[in-house]
Amino acid sequence: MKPSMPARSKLSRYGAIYALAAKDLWGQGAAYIATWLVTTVIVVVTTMALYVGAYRVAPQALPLSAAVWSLAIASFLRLTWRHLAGGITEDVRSGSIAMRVRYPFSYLGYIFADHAGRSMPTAAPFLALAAYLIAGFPTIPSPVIAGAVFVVMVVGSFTLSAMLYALMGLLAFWMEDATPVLRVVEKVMVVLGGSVVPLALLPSVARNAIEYIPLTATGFPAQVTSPDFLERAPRLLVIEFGWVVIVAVVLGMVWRHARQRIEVNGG
Amino acid sequence: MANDFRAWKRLFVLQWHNAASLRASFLAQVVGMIINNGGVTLMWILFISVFGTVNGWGAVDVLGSQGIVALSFGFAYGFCEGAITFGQEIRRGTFDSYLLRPLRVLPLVWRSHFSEATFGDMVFGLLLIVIACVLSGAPFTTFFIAILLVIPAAMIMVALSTITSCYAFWRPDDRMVSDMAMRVFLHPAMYPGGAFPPVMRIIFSVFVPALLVGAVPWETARAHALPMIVVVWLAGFAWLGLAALVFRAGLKRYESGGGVG
Repeated sequence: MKPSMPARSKLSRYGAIYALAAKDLWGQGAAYIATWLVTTVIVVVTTMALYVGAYRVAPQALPLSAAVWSLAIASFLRLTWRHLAGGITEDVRSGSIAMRVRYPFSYLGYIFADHAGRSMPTAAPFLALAAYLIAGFPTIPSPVIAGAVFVVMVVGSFTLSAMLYALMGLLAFWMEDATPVLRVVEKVMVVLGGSVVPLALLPSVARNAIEYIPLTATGFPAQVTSPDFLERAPRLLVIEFGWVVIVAVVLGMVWRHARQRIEVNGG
Repeated sequence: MANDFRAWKRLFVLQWHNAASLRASFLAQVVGMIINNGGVTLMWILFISVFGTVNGWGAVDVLGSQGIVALSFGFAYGFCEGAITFGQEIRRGTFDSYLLRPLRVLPLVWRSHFSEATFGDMVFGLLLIVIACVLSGAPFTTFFIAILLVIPAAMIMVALSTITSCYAFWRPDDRMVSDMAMRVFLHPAMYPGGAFPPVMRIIFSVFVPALLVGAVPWETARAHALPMIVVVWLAGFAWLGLAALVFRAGLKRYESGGGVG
């Protein structure tokens, strides 16, 4: 039976896991980080450059800088947890999950902190730099309030994305090969999360409809650059955190069932 | 050459039977890939619906070029998936098994693996090309030229995969560069061709031939541009020739890891 520990102590452990993962990433050397960055950033930068070309031909109501920054933010939100499902699947297939659930902290908390440490520190500054070089800074009305709302939304988005990817990873307990499901869900996330077309550019009817889907909610912070962000923010926050609660409950149930399968099969 | 082809055919039949015996898994892979490709196409349809026609490219052109990319991807990696995977075998030290057989190494390497998901790409690609031709009211020759250009597009994909996997001959401990290089190639291939400014079109046609596997074949098919058909085919053979040269150079450097698989 795992010893219980105070919540603050648990959080500091996850913080330490995050820091170790980030240190490990940087410790692997500039070549590794450079190739990782090129793989992720070049794709996003090419998309942003396409928008420059498309805006020349067909300017939109949403300014180019707002669209480009929206793409950068949406991509960053998605890229952070991209490998989480694969990591869990690998742990299940290799059997190492049986050892990891014995750690004195939650396996899911560990995997979230580890992946965040490997992804977050590198993608954000380079995507921001690329967006600035391509389109300058966007104009954001009431930047202080918008910034505060943005931070809260990012917390919700990260939590929701991590839990959704974890749910996909846990499919490995029941499916021989969950790759087809992973592919489909990821593509839907790319489309609905605003990584290719900012949601602010879609017709309002379509935008309002798809905003209720949890995969879309993972991309809400990217709407900070749209002129009506503060007007829509209360509704978006309710939807986002509503899904956080629902998905957390579902994840808890699925994880309980998955753990039983570990013990039944002897690990 | 005849021996290579016989071995190729036999291997394919064995791999097909092996994959088809796990029917549920096979169908899940195929259907999953169709849905995955549908998502990519939908992304660009959304883009076009926002911006309207971009440099003459509309939704139908997106369907046509995505269809060619998907069909050529399916052909390339349905029959030659080994082009992507042999880098891993070099790293694991199990590449020796290819050198011990009385067959040409490169075709054997190409044919060594099989991916059932690529059949989803082929079905999806063919469907999209048909839909694009019907919606654009194009004559049958457009469809015929599009299908004809799928083959050199597939050749370019196999060639690029081979070249990037060959990096393992020089740096067996570094997987990232190969993965990165393929991504740099594959992603622009799926973008609507009309959105590329002129400079980017040159870069992504000549140096990183991403446009040659989708956008250019579709534009050629629609325009019935016979000289471009020849150019695309020549590009296919040129890239395949380059891949063979790089592979040969890499093979000379290869040192056995002692594993025969």
